[in-house]
Amino acid sequence: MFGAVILGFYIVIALAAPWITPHDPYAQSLVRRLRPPVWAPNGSWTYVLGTDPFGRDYLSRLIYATRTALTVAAASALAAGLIGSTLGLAAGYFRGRVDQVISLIISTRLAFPSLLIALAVLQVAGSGLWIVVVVLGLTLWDRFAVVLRTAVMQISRQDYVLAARSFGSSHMRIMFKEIAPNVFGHFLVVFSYEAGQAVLAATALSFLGLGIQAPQPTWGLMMAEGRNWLLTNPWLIANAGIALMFLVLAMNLVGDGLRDILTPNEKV
Amino acid sequence: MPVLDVEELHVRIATRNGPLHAVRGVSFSIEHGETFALVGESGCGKSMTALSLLDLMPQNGKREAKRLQLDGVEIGGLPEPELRQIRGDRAAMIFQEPMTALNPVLTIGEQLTEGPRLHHPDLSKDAAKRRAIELLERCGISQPELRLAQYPHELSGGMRQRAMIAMALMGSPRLLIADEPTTALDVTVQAQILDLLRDLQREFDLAILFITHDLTLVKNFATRVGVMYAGELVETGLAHEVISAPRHPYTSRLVACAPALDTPCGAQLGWLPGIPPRLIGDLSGCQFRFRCEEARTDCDGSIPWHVSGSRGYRCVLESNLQQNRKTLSVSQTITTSASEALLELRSVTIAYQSMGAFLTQGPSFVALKNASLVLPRGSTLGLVGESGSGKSTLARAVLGLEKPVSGDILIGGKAVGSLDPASRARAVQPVFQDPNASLNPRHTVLDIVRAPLDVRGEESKIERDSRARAMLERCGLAYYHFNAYPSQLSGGQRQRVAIARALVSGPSLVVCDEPTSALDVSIQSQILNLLVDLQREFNLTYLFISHNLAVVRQLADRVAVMLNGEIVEQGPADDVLSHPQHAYTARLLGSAALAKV
Repeated sequence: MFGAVILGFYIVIALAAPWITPHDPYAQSLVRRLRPPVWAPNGSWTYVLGTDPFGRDYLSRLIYATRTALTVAAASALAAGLIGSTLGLAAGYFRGRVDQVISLIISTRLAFPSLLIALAVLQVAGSGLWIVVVVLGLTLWDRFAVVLRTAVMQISRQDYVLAARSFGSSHMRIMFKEIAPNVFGHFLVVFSYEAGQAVLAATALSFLGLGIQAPQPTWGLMMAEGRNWLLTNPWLIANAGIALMFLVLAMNLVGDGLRDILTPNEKV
Repeated sequence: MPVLDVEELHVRIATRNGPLHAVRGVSFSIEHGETFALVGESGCGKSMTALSLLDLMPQNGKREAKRLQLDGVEIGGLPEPELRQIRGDRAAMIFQEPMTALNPVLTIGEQLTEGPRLHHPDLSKDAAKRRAIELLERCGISQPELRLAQYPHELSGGMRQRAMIAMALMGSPRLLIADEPTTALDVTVQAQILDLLRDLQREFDLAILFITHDLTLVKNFATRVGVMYAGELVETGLAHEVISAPRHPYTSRLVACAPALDTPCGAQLGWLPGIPPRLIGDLSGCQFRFRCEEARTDCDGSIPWHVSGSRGYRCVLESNLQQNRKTLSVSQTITTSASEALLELRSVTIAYQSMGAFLTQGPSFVALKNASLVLPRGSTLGLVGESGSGKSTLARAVLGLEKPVSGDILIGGKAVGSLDPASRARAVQPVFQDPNASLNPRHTVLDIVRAPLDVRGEESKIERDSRARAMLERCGLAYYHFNAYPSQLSGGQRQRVAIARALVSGPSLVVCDEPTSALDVSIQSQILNLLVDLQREFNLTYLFISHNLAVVRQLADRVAVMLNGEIVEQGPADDVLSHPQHAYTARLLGSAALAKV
């Protein structure tokens, strides 16, 4: 519940970014570099969270970066979900050899150091938001596959799947009409965790300078730019970090909440 | 002095909707060496009564009793530590499902010696072990020393239940509470376990509280019986008297619902509509009046408890109920004309291939060996045998879900394997055992029943809808159920939906895999009656799988008996069930009749 409220707040902020930002997030000015936030000495309400080393309004950049973060989170988790659920559904439903091959693919994927692979790919393939999404999609699908494979195995043993086969349903119809609705809850739970993981990974990549490029505002880049002023202006890193932390926390809480709602309880 | 003396026992369970009165003023006593059975449908408070005796109710449950004495000692108000001394020592329990009642990660030996060593700290490990071996042997377990080191999964179902009984005897119990101890077991094993309990009762002078929903068991096994309805005892008395001449309308309907081994084929069973009430809110008057044919206007007042000799019952009617009872309509046995064979199996063998290491094949397991059958159109074949005997494999093969290694399965003269899905659906459809598992929880009732027509896709949406609705209504569901989800229906209603789904394709053969074994006896009779009616109306042929010989006797005109993947005997039901040729069939029948002592 708490998680959903925070997540909802982030989504509203991201959607309303152009109307609520006090300044242009890209407008640089050497005159107003490194203004402190409002609560610090010399802070002012004009630049509530101060300005960055290029004199851009920190709050406006933080808000626009929320947009980027949510886009990356949703798109990467969706891409990962598509790959992982397809594999999991096929492995759990067909079993036998299909399952053995897919399980091997999953084990192989789990043996990869994903962040290193992502760095290497970005180094070679260049950078940009959609490339980051594709790379994260390709590295975060394993949990979808593992969870859905087990869930689908359980569901496809149910008699209603047998009944559907005996009145002549095709494999496709059984997978999408009979099984998919019963494992959608599992998908949602994994989706919310993986969205959080995607935000963290995307931030790490931008912090390292790969991934989404300046001047597009991302929390990773903002932290990287603030690195040199860590001692004098710690809020440059802290504020972006806090925004990141609460978003991931909210996503994990929503995941926990969904799991509780979707797991049948045995109360009298 | 009775071993157990209970007076005015009440159990209340706190729920979100207010207190649930699970047990309401139950009084009974059990003497040494006596078996007292509690019977009734699910949700009538039998198990809750048993659990509450040793204060083992759920967390939110509360027990009150005017008197609750074990061996003359009041245990009603005992604090938890003193109750613990009694549990497992002077009163022990055995449960329905020995697989879940035994801890899978502890050895049999550890579990047997744990209790006595808790109760008697001075008991040495060796002495406890010796007693465990002695009792396991007494309970008919071979190689008891070896068993002590084994885990529950290494024993068969029957052996686990024997180990549970040995465990219950490890203390020195005066009272043994047995909660459906044989329900999960095959019929031959069931008889052995009951024999064992009977012997042990004599030897240890045990008082047994026996909880069951099976009236045949009560008649043959219990000394006295208490019939429970809606948390109350509605009738008590000597078991054979109560079952053969019930006085309370509820008992009478229950008895009429249960098919006996001598029920003729095709007979309509008694009819007990509805389900027991939820025990929340106002519970004045007779709770059975909502389902009772004899209900009168004064049924909502206070209900007298009539006593005559050892019998008692709670009803506004003064005895002689028997005279008002309508005799059960025994309709004509289905006459099977020597019509053409609808289903034919010609030496069918089915093997399962297990998976070996990566992408290789492991060893195969033969589940069905050389099975041959002929089933004429319009008749019913009862397929009996124990779990693992290959009944379900045969059913799946007939449905075209398993490919035989060798042999042919013909429906209407065509091989099942060669039919395209649509014509196969028109030839044969299944009804499964557990309606919880056979209906997709995410689809509405109407969607479930329409699905076979959607797949076929021959008619317009409106036509499909109206055919599904008509079939649902024919199977006894009302329009307000159509948009419900399976979880909102009762067990019996769900099974009706499953039957409607099977019939909406218009199959000539219906494979019923234990369609009533997950249901209460009152619901079972409704479903069996429905199946008999539908068979006449649609000229259906049934392949009816069951472990309940009485049910098979009622429905089937032919019987096939399976053992270890083979059909060991088949023929007309009368012949097979009255003059069994194969030793195994005789044993199966003997167990079902429970070798009346």
